[in-house]
Amino acid sequence: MVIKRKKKGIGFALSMILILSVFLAACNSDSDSGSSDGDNETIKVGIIGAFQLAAGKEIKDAAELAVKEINENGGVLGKKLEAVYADTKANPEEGRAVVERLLYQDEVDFIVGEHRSEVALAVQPVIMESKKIFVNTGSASPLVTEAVKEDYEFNKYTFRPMMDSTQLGEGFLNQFAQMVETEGYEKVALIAETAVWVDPIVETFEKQFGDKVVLVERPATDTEDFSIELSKLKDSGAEVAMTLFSANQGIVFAKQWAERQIPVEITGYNVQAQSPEFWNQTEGKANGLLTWKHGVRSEITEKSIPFWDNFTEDYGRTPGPYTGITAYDGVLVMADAINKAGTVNSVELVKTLESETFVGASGNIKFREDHGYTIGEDFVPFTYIQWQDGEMGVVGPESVATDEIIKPEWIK
Amino acid sequence: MVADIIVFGAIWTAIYSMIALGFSLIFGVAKIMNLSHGAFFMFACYAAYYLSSSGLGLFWVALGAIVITIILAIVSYLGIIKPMRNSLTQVLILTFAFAMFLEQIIVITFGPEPRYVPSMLEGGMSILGVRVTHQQVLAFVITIVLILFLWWLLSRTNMGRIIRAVSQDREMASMLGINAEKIFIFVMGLSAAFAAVAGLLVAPFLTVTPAMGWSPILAAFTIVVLGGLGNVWGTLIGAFIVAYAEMITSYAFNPQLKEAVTFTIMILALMYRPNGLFSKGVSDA
Repeated sequence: MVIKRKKKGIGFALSMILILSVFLAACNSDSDSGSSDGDNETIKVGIIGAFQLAAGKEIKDAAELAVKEINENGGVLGKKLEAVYADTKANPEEGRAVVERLLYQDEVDFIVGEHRSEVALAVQPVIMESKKIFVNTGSASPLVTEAVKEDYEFNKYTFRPMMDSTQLGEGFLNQFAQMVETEGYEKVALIAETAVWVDPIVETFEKQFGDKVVLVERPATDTEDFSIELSKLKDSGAEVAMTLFSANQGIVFAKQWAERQIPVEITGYNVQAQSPEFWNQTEGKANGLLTWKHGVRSEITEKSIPFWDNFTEDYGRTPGPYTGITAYDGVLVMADAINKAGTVNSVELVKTLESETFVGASGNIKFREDHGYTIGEDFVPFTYIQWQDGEMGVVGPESVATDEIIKPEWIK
Repeated sequence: MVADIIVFGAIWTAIYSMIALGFSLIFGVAKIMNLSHGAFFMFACYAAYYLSSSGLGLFWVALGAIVITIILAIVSYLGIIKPMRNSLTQVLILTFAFAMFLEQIIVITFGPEPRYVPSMLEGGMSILGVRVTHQQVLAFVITIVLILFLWWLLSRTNMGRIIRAVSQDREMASMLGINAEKIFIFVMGLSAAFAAVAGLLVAPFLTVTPAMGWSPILAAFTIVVLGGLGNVWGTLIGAFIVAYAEMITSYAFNPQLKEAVTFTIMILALMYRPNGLFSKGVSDA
């Protein structure tokens, strides 16, 4: 009887495992790739990213919009631009596999996307080997462009219209310094996730603000409760704090900061606060929270506001994470470069991309020697938004600001 | 700082108690070490997220999430645990596998991105000069009410006497005409209900992710090792010790040492008090 029961149990467990395996296998084979028609009447772009994540979905949606707009305006070299989507699932191995498929099965002419640095670094050599252009539109790792400097001949097909972590660090610190100076703050704090990309920023922050620093906290990236950090922040007497959150902790932090009415202004980088859903996810409590957001509704170039409005119209939501506008610009820059070069030949395109300045939605894109790009008011501004009554108010820099900075009501 | 430790320590004692009580209860009565208990906690959060996104009212969201979690727990008991119940190791492995299975199902259904459950109560209040949200106060109050309910159920009702009888001597209870299997199913449902209520109460102030069940199950495991498996009051004292040890360490040193403290307590308890501070069967006192 016991044996019979055990067999029944094992049978049930095996059935469960079988069902799960079949389910997962089915999901894995559910490729996001488009079909290849094999004719020469199209120019093909491979779009890569972890599409099940918000940042990856943004890449897919924005790239789709760019392709649609390019085709509506006559295509590239008179041909239709066709996008082939490949989900890297935030996994370097999966990334390599899908990129090989794009290159050798779908025969794409160039590849745009990928926001995970580990995946971008894994697929970069595969794409370089094939001598196709890789426009990396999300990874902030300096290693992607350092590779171009170190081995130009092999890696010269890599371009990144996106800030690297060094530029991001400088941008965060500059904005914070400006805020401290303008408001005359004497006590400042830093709450930065425990991550390698944050370490140099923390070091510079402590040096730059010296005696004004009253608290530095380094919570884990998977922190689910900020009760302790917020109590310490309140006790520290800080007047303003810079947060650096690139994972999923931003909403909980913002909610608890507002619910507990911590009398400290918050700025810096909160990736979740860049999404239009942030207001509802924090139940409308994040009024007054500032964050860096790449891509805002402001007249930076003639393409900036149309991108924002067309994206909103097509997807029923405003643009979210920075990966959307960078992917949009990536596709636009490539289409422009192909039209200017008159060919999809990668060597010719490298020359065009290196020498020309391109107009994107995020600013004027001019590639540097290492194929990263130049930031600043004449190129791509480092923009800040503040949540104000459910809207993302553009509050910095002054040249593109459309709204004034407000203080949360419990700080007034 | 001391006031913060007192207030947030009390809130986390309550939350840990709620999770650990269900875990302890099913072991005390049925000798089932249910590692999928944390997954039930997580599942209830997702059920609440799904139901609240469907536009249902607060009462129906809570009721629906609890009922769905209870059904899931009973089905897992009948399908997986019951046939293997005589082997503690097999039950451990199977419930661990079932927790992973549930996590994968949630990832496939809802994706790996975090989800957010709206608060049941808005606003906040000051306790000992520390501002806490009404949701946190609600979690504390409901936990107290449920602990009193459990005490009443186990010590003042006929069902409680039957549960204790089965816990102490299943064979004897069966000879006296008690259907132990029905009691196991009842306790499994009750245990899952505790996990579900804990999930519903904390979901609004935490991040809901597919992996969120593992951290509470580790805390619950430490708490029941400390308090003694199956001992209700021991579990409460265990929760108190773990919650305050975590709070004091976080404030005085570093919040990242929180889980290290939990594991240190577990190691010390297993080394010096392997049967817990107050080990015995399910008891009302």
